[in-house]
Amino acid sequence: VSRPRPVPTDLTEPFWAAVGRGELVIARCQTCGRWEHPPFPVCPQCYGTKFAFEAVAGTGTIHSMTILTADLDPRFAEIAPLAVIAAELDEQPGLIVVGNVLGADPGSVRIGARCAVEFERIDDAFSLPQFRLTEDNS
Amino acid sequence: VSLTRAAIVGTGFSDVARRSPDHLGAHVVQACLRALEDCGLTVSDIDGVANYPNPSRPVTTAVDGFDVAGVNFVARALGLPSLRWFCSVAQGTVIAALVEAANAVESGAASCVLVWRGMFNPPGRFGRLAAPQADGPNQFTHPYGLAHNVLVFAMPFSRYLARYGRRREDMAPFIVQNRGYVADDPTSVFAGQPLTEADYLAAPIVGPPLSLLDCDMPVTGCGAFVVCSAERARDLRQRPAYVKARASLGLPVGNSLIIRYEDLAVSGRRLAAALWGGSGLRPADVQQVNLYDGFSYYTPLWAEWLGFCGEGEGIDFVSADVKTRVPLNTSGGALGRGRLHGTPQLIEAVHQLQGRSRHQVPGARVTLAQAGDPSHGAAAVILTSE
Repeated sequence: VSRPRPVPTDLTEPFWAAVGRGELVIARCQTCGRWEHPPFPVCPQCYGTKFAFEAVAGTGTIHSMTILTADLDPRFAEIAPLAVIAAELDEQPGLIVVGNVLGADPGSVRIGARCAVEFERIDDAFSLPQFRLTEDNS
Repeated sequence: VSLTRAAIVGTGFSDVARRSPDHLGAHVVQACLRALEDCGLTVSDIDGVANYPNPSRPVTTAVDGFDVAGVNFVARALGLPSLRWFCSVAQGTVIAALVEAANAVESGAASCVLVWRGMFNPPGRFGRLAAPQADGPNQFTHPYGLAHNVLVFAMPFSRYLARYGRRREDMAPFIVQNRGYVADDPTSVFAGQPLTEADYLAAPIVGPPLSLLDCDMPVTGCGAFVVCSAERARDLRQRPAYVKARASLGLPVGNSLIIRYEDLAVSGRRLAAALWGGSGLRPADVQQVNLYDGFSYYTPLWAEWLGFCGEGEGIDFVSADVKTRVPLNTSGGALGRGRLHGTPQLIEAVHQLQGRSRHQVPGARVTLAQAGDPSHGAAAVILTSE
């Protein structure tokens, strides 16, 4: 029993392929430039339907958070407790990527803190985009 | 009141228990028969049924009458020889089903509609997830442990607290007051179990900022309602609760991996605008209020969105001394009666107008009941006694 593995679909395969290369990419409307995550069939800003995955800087601010304990989800028994964060990426207000926080006590993680993506190798088959608190937190 | 105006004329709870030896279908039939008995109608008077049938826990195969008890089950179980209209709402809880029942009565599609919501809590740990894989949109959340419903719903509460500079501890007076409403009520699963603020502050944290006492406890039980026209209501046993205004909305805003607090507020305020608009009423006209509390924080948030207090003031409002504000969730809601998805809110709104509440607000003539959250569908009604 261990953390559930993501199952890519036709829509999301480019995201995970990029993660494998150590790159964070997000679906972007090719008509107006709006970012959408998770992938969405129509741009809610311009109703455009042509999207492509483009690289983002991978920096953002913690928008909201909670902490997972082993008691709540035994699949995470070996790695809990884990800070679970929603990182609001710098590219667009409200653009959220979910992750855990590496290298920090979960109890010390605060909403509003700055963070940057870092890729965590889970096993030979897959990696996850994760976050680390960055130094510009004062 | 216009003779065509829809009214709630009968209400009934089944027996409610954390673990019941009886199946869900037995509770649903019991609640429906009690609602009919309450107003003096029989199954042959019922010509419409409306329900929110969503399974009350994750199930792979839902067996009718056991895991779910929707319109198919009730039509089979009760017979209903006069049936000519039905509705199953996919979102919005029992109050959304009630809104459709009122629409049917006022349009003439049905004359007497039975509405219910049944909840089932079989043995086992509630909401536990075990899948080794994360499919669909879950592929971006479950690998990080954002899977259990308590964590999913902890996210917007964490955002709200940070945004408005509040702490979970500020909820304590509300939690204590709410439990106090059922301490002397033998029909509540929490009868004889009052809380102190120290109890709340020491409650086990499930997923911060949510503790065990912020989650409604899963139960097996059902609440049921009979809706008919004001004209028909004149001859029945109980004083009618007229449906003065209603709104069924709470659709999600934005495409996001999480429930964003900011999206909730937009959607919640849209429902409020739909409810008050054209009603001729303001929050100050309501003498008793019943707001959703599937997670505790939804009550202060809905108080804000519906205009009972200002933005960011919800926790202070619900935690205030009851003598200083409109009485709220006086039957204990779901935090005080168990996870019954809005039926405690709606039954109390009716009972207050009928003068039957255990915590009666003297002279209550206008009440409000709301259920659901603005990311999964929500609905609200304003009820009047005249």
